[in-house]
Amino acid sequence: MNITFFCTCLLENLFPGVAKAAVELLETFGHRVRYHAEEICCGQMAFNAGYRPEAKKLAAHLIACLADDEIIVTPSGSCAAMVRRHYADLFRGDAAMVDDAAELGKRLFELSEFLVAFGDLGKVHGDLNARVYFHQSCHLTRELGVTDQPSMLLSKLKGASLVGPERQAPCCGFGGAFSVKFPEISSVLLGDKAAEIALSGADLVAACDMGCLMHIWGGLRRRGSTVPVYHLAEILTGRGEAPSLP
Amino acid sequence: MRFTTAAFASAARKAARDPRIREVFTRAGTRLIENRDAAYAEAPGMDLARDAAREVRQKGIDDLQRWISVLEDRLTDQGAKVHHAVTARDACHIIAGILNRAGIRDVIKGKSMATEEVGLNEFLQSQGIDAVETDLGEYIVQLAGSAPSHIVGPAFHMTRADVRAIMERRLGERLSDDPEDLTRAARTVLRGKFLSAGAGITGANFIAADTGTIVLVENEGNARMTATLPRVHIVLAGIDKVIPSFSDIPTLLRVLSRSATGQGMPVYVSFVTGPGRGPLSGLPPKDLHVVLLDNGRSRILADPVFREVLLCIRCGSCLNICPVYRTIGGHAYGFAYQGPIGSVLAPLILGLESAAALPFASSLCGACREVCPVRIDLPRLLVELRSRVVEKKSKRRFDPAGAVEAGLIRAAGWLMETSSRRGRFSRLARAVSRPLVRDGRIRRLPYPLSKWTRSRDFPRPPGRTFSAWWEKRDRHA
Repeated sequence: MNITFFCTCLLENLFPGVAKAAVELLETFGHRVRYHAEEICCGQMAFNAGYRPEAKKLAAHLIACLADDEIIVTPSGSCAAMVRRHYADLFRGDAAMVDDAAELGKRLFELSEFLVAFGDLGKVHGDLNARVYFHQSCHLTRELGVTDQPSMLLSKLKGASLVGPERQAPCCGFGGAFSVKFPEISSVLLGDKAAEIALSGADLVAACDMGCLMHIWGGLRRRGSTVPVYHLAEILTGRGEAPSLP
Repeated sequence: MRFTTAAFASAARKAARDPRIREVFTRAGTRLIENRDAAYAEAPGMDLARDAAREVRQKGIDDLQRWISVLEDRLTDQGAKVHHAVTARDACHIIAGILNRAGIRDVIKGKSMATEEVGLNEFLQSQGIDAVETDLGEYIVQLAGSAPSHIVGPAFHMTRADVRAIMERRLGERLSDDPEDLTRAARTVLRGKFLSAGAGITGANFIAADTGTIVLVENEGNARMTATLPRVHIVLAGIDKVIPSFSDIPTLLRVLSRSATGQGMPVYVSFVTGPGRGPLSGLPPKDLHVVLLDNGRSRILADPVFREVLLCIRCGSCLNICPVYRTIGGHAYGFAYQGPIGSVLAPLILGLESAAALPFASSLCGACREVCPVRIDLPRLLVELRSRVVEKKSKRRFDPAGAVEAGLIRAAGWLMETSSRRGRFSRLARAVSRPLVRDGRIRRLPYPLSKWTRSRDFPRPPGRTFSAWWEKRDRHA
């Protein structure tokens, strides 16, 4: 299929390796990937910080940028959720923009959601031979409803087993700007998450959101843990490459 | 002002550093949510029950003035007196006035967050009127001279040992740690108060407009005794407690206790319809006073976004599941309502200026929205409050912190505007951060980014954007 890749500002500027892995993954599955370098940001950070005009500007730009793309895939649960769940609120009172936003939402997928929805499970191959703690990000699960797809994909890798709580675990404490506005609370929740990961006996940690991952990774390393931390895209290639986060 | 919401940020920071607070509130919250989940799982159709509960509450607030008017007529017909308190102060004066005119100096209280909201007990005390809490948790908190830390379990912050220590000191008798022993001691004192009080003050879980029925939900029975024993019964309730019809009650009861404590039904549900007593009972007729409290609710109702918060049935689930509440406990919020619902109500009732920090103390995880029996989109309301705070700050002439933050957001937007600008910044960031890097990670960043590195490592800037990689790949394709 012809896919447009929505990189997200976090991956563009801080984790290009993850974006690269996601593109290569999509290509491995036989898709033709396009990318618009004019894309900037979905506006989530500004919106959540209370800066509606700035968020609107960024969101309007994204909607325009992706107006002609049939299918858009992004390796970020929270960015996909921003578009699909919050653009209507962001543009409330502006019926035309609300419509455009809704229309974009219909064409935009989170990566794992896309891969499973379009039946690409069979194309996942390779060895993992590890116990994976998959971190279920809040927006990915609660706002997008993507609860099973990542584990469905991971279980296709040889030797992969999922460890950790069956049910939705509490928030890791990232929450975007919350992580620096209330760092004391954020780090308590991070400590709980790190303890949970240690308890699970996981060989590696994975997730579909780099925001959560950089926070979890940062906490693990600070505590002296060397557990590898991967974005899902980096694992699914099955090539066993090193993750972006060292 | 007795509420300390203005000091929230520092109170929250302090509380987050106290592991005992986290232990107590995490244990309580976890237990209550487990009970809640079990209660929801055992009954069929609970998802639909929540939809129905929301619908009933929505029907109420969509035409609230009408239902209040219907209620007032009904109550007046029954011989009850209706009072309208516009502000918290009004509520205190109205209630003190009722008591003074009746010459009442001793009052018993059923648990009522509305009375906490208006600071009734302190006001009555200043008028020489003694108000004793009869809910066991509230009584203990009152003995301790402290404030409730949870809207359903006011004494959650106290351990059994704390309770024993306070009760021993205040009641002057040796007590054991055994809950039965402690309860017996409280009961002995409270029985005396029940029998001698001139008036009973309760809140209301709901008030049905068509029948004028005040609904009291509880597990102890003290609210029923407070409402029935003394000759005077005063009800203080927010106007948002008014529901259109008596027939709406089961829909709400179906979700209330399951959400609050995991019980299928509360132990006591009392319907107070009209003053009661009179000739047949041989007892003198009661004086029933219903004080309807506005305190900003009409203003909230008029706001198309915030009116949703008036659907709340005060079950406390959002507190129980909130990772922030579990970490910092209830007192840090400094208000009658805590947790996610408190973070929305505080700025709306007390004003944005007094409670500006509360809406930001959330990672927006959405757990509260997930458990709310009437499906209030609390994260949405928190984000909306954030934008109102930012908007208000932008109008202030002197606000350096606000100006810096706004500047950063706009600078980030500018920097990210083109791929070439992003590429240049990426190279700059890599170069500038080189001295800070150890083993491929950054351990310390200067203020304000030190707020990150205090507890976490930060990744090394990659020095190259995805766009740059893509462009190179594209060119070679």
